[in-house]
Amino acid sequence: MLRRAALCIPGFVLLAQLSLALCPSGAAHAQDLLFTIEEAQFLLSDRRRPPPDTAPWTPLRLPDDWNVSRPGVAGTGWYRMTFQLPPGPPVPFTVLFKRINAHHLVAFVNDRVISGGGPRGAQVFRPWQQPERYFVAPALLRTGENVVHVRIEADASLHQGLHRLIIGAAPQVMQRFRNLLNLQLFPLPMLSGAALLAGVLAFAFWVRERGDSVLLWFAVTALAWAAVTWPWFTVSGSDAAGNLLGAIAFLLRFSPIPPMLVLCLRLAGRPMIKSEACLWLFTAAGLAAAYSHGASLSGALITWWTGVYLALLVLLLLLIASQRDRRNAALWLLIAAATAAILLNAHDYGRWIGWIDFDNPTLAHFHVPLVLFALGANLIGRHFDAIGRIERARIELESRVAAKAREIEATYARVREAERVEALASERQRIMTDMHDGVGGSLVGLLGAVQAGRTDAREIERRLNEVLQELRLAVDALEPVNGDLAAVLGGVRHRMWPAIEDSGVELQWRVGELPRLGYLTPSVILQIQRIVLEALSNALRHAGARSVSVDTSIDAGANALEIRIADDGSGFDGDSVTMGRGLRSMRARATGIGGKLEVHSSPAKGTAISLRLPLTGEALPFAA
Amino acid sequence: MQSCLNPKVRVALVEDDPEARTRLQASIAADPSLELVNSYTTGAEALAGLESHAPDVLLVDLGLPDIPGLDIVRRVAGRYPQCDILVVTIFGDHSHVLAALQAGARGYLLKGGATRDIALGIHDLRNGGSPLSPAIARQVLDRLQSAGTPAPGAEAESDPDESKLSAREAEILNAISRGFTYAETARMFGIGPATVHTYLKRVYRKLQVHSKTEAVFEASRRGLL
Repeated sequence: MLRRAALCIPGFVLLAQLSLALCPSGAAHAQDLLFTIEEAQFLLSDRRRPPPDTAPWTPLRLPDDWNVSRPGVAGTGWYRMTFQLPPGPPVPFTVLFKRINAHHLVAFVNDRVISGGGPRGAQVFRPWQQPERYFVAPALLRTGENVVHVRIEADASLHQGLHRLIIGAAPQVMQRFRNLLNLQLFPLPMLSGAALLAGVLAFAFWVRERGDSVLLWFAVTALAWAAVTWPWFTVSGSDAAGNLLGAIAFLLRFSPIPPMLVLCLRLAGRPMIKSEACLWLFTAAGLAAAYSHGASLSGALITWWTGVYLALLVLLLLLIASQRDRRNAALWLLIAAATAAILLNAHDYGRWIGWIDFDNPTLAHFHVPLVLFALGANLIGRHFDAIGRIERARIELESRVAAKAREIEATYARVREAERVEALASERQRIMTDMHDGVGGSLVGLLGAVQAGRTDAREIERRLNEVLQELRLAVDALEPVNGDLAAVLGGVRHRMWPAIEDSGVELQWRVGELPRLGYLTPSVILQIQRIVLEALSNALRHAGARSVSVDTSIDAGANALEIRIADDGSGFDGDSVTMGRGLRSMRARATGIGGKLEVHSSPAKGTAISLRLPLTGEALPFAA
Repeated sequence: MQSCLNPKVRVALVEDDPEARTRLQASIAADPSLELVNSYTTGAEALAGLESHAPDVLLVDLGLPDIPGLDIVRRVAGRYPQCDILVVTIFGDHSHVLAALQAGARGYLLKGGATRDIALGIHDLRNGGSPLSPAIARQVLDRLQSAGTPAPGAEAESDPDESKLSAREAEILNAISRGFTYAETARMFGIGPATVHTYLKRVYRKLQVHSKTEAVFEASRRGLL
């Protein structure tokens, strides 16, 4: 009848109830007394006072779930229990109800009411599992047998009834009471609060990032979890039955599960439209079933339906995990959480149908933190995956750009090489032509003269010097001057120095600083050299001048550079100038390199030859 | 400083071509202020002969059969710094002249020039250097100005300032590269022609240092040093 014992708890809730198991035992002192009452007598009677011991009591064992022991009954029943108090000084006692599981409850010790709220009792049906304790004055107790009566108004369809009673010295029982609060009551606001925060946060993120439906489903799931606990905190009226209420309870308890499933499906892979449609159909069927059965069956329906849902979820996740990357730890975590949810739910279902100790608290809600944690891990995993993908894509892109750049560079190098080879070929061609027409021609002419016997030594020397001069000019044209036209002009002067000295003509050299020209290739240089050489030679030899000037000037507006060779000699008549063979060839040379030659000549003012060249421009092809 | 004590400039020449040698000898003989002390036909002969008779001026043909002319220039310039070296070339093109200047030559003479040009060139040289062609002046300018930032690793071997052009040296080289004569250049900067020669002497020296710096840098780059 009286037993000092720890609670009998199934193994898989051991962890949660570890603190409860640590109860004191075997103490002889009254201070340490603690009784767990498992054996009772029951009488179905709506009396207000405890029925006499002679009434037709039936023995039973606690806990007593009316839905199991007397299905279909709704009414008032009495329980009678006893415990033996050893002799000792009187101490304050406390009676602990692990859960008030009835519409109304009144408790008596030795025929005196100990629960508050008058003879009808203060307690009303609470859908959630709040423990309750009542104090027993030491004066009420007596050494030897003491009798406890409990009157409840209960409804079998609501799984109401009486749990094991715990009676003992106030400190021990209060410790139990606090443990039960910690286990059965306090986690709920904490869990729903956490779910609410997570849901709001996820929703805020979704508002920013509309494209990610996973975030939205996470928010819906978490907010639904927060909503689930709402009826647990409300105290409903005594008449809880009714189809609508049952369906609402079903809906609320149930609301997180379909979105959670959708969320898991979306997290696990691409949206599976058909699976989701089946899910919603199943949910609608559950609601319809709950509505048609009313509150009477909603508890069982909730647990059963939830179990099916979760089993489906685990199956789907396993399927997905088997197809996808098996090293995806977050997915396995989710499967573990879903499996834990199934077990917790199975526990509750077993409790409903009487397979598992009815005293156990319902545990299904503990899967909220597990699943939220797993989902959060998945979301974070997705986040890091996305970052990784972006990073890989960036690296990939960079390497592709680099490869492309190398390709372009290689192509460019090939083009440049081809251009260089072509330029070399054309340069070679030019030099050949030049040798043929210039030095070659002069030498052939000289050879002819020598063979014909016209061997005037001074004439031969003069002509040989000319050939040498020509050769030196050609070599000069090949000198790298880095686009410095002034150095080219200086070179002509340098080569002509003996001739200028000999002529006695005063040379006014006014070559200024010139911008580098990009197109000064050897062939262009040679053309410029020849034009200037010809102009200077004409001035020295034919014009009878006293002084010759060479000036350079820049006309930035016209993008032009001018070389002006002027003498104060006799000049030419306009018509004969244009006919002059030398001038015509100079003009052709100027045109060939993109320049322009102008000749102003009058007997009074002498001759001025002006060569205008562009300031900018690419290397020009050689024009003969 | 022998020229101060003895007005006759002692000239030696290395030339393998008999005709060219004859012409050079004739040119020197025609000038009373010059004295031909030796003419060698091979590089080895010249290096051996110079041991006993170091001249004031050595004319070197770059195309000798046994030893590359540049090697002779380098060795003589190293061993007899007081001996001025002139290289003899047909065209006076930059690849020959610049290499010779870097090796330590003080100027160049054109083969096939008039007889008096040879003597003039030698006198110019004694006064500070033979005329640089504008193209070569441009080359020297570009080369030494890009040396303004000395090659890394070269600092240890030589003072970077040793091969850096001063502003005035750069201006003078610039004027010469534009075709101005030494006299015109001197007028342009309000200095005497002798000062232009002094500046150019320094430029030659820097060119020589620069080429050594470059060689050191190149050697260390290739892992030879």
